[in-house]
Amino acid sequence: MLKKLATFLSIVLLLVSLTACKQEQAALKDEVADSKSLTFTVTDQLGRQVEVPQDIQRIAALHYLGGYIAFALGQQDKIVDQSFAGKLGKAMASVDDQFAAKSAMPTGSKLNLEHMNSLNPQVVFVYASFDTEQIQQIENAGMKVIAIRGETIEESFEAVRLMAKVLGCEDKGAKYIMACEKLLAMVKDRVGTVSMQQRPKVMFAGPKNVLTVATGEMLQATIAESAGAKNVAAELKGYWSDVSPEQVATWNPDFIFLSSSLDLQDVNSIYDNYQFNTVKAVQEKQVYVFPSNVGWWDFPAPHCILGIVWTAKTLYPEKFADIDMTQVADEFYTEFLGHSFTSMGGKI
Amino acid sequence: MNKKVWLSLAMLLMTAIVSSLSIGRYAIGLKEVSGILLHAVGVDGYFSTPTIEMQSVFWNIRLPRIIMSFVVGSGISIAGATFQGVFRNPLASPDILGVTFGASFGAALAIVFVTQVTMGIQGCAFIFGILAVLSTYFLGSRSWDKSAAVLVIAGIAVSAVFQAGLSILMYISDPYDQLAKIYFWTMGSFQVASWAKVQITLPIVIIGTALLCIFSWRLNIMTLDEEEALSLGINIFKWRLFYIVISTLIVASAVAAVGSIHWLGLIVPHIARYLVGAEHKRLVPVTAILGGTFLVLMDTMARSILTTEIPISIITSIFGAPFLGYLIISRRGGALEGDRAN
Repeated sequence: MLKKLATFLSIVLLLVSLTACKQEQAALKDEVADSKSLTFTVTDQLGRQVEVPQDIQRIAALHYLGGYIAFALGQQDKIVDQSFAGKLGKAMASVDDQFAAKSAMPTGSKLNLEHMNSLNPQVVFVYASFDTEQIQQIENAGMKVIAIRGETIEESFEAVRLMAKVLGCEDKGAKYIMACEKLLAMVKDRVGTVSMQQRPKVMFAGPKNVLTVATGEMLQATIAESAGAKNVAAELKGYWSDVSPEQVATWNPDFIFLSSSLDLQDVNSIYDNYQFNTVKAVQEKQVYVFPSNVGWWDFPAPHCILGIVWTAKTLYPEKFADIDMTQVADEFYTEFLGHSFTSMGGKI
Repeated sequence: MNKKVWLSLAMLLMTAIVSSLSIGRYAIGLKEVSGILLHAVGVDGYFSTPTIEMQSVFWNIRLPRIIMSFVVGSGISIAGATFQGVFRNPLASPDILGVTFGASFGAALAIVFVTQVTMGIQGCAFIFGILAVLSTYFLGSRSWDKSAAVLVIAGIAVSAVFQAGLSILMYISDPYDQLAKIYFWTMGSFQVASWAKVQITLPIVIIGTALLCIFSWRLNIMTLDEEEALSLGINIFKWRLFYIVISTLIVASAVAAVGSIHWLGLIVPHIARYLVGAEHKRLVPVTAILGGTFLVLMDTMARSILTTEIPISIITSIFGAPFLGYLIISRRGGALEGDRAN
């Protein structure tokens, strides 16, 4: 009798376990189907088709541009790394404990893939110049990579639209772009009527020394043109270019902006350098350190709009007498970076 | 030495002086230069009076740069000739012996940890330049193999260590401040030449060159074995150290002022040897003139051809290396050993 009961129970158990197994398999199949339907495909700014999950909770931003946009879209809680380095990173860490607690993630040859993997981001935003082999490696490790770029204002707006779509907050992206366009339109209104002949000649210098100039293909050229100026090095192509002091004397710019890392340089060192004493900008003391002390405004990001406003006000002070740059920056930072410019230690 | 060589050298020097003074991105031609020079000694009227801007660009930008390139060209070339004599090795040069990378490492070390003042960078460049060449010498002399290749291999090993050190410094340096400055040392340029830099570099190179010229006859003794030299009552070790220290000092001060200029120290002494033979009393001064002239001409191209500056090492390699190649195939005999002493 006992033997029969044991046999019966064994058969029941076997049947139950088989059913459970089948159910598990069915559930797994459903999950696969669900997860498939919970993804969508976007085209990044390198033209790559990337399939990303619909509900993204963890992202990494390996470049300032991604960091700026994530903050502007109100998605900073999702960033797993410190998306800003340098002085912007320091300034942000000083006011934002959540940011300070995050892990720094150097890029390029310093990127540690295993470390990034341990932070478990679903999507990684990189700059379009990022090494394509490294992109492949990150994807092989199970993360999705989206390349963004902001060498022109329109490109950085495109980056905003792309990130907003991926992160499911397109309304916030539109609001960010609209705020930038509003500032841009304000500048255009005031300097758009200035004829080409009347526009001052400007030279952007950096990052190596004052003889490394921004070419006509760089964001600084867009900043100069949008602010109603002519870039003396407009004819040059490519990235930062070294020129001779004689070339600077020949260009004879009306204004010199020390941008990028040259912000650490004292303008007096330019005034005291007799190699430049025939240059109008030096004679008339029109050499300026490009803002800001808590993050560059001539960097590929929609934030460069603030750089355009500042440049226009510097070139045409009478046309922008009513504009308080600190106030503009404070409002912009508060809205799109979560903290006011002055609270982060920013000064104009 | 025949007069033809001296005449050619004098003509080359004149060409370099005239072309470098009258060519540049700022429109100051030969007429204007003549006007500026005459105006400076109080003679006006022969040429149109130069504008203040022209005078300023000429005196403050073009002239110090020409002087700097001549001084650095002479210094590096003479150091190359001396190293080749001291080590009895036609392949010896500041690049090969590790001096260039040692000095670059020293300069970078100063930038990252000590100071960004030129004198400090120069001092540090010198210390590590000396350290590099002595390491190469030590490794080479300790080898059982006494062939010329050993010193070169030792130099490659020492250079690799300092190159790695330089890479580490670049890795840990502040990318937005120090890194850009370190990059400068790895790629030489006369873009930043100024009277202040001339004031620091010129005395060192002039004194060094003068000492090497005065004692150039002793370099011939370096071709003797240590025992042979001792039998003549000469302490070959002391003299070797003397030449190494002076040559390294010259190279380090040049590197500290304008960054690394590659190949010059190897190529120019060989060209000079083809012209005047291996006798150091003639070779050393000719190398100095030739190196200075060569670099002035190269730098005139670097600063004038395009709107942007062309890195000087690219031009020195493009023009210097094929010229050396031409000399190698156009002459007979063991010219690399400099056996045309005449």
